[in-house]
Amino acid sequence: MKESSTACRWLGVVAVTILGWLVSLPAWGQPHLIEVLADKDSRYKIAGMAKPEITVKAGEAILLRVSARKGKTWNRDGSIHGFTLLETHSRNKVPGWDLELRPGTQEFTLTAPSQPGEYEVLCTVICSDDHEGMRMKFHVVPQ
Amino acid sequence: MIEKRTSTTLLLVFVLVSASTLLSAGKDKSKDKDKDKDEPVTLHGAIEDSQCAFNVHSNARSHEWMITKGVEGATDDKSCTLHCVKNMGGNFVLVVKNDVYRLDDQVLSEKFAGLKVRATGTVDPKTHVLHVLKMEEDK
Repeated sequence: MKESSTACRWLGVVAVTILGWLVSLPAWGQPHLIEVLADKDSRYKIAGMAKPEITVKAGEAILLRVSARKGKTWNRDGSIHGFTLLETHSRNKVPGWDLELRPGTQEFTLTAPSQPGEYEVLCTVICSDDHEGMRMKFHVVPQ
Repeated sequence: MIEKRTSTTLLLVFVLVSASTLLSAGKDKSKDKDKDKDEPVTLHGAIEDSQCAFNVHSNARSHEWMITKGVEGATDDKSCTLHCVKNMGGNFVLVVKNDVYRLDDQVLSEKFAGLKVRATGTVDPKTHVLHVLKMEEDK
């Protein structure tokens, strides 16, 4: 009788521990949320970062939320900034990451590159005199 | 009584003939539409980069702006186009006056970067993509 109650207690402790671990996992099963501001001064900005950079795990699901503000020039189709991901050394584009941004906030469901390494986010809309400087580092780390 | 029946029959025949004529005309029109979509067209324009071509200023002015500004690697139309595609994430597009066509064959387009071309292909009206069948320099 005493043995079975001890076993039950242990089982309860283990169950509570596992549940607590699952609950404490940050956004378990949810995509990695990245929030970026594509600003009117032709700069990408991320809250709390003086020099914005993005770090993701290879192949992970990403929810990219971008707010865009119009610079000095824009595209005829209404795009005001771009968000294109290139592999830094080869300059190859990452498929699915060639985004055109409209004024306001928009969300994109994406998958991080499967290959760990250094990447770069670039603006593909001539948005001002400083358009060429609108870029940001993007690190992909192994899972 | 017989006269009334005859006139009713005539009216019915008239309505049926008119309806079938209208229906067949509609069918022909939609056939023509499909035909237009698949019919290859030949366009005369220049191979540019999407950044300069889509900019709210004219594409020529954008090239000019890039070159005047002294952007590294952009010294003329060709180098500006290649710089914007190779280093800045752009795409090769076909500029025909004020119209810009996206191109499905980026490898072929690269050979004509900054040049005037005669491009033959089919245009997807929804995406404005030219599915290139043939491209040659327009001298």
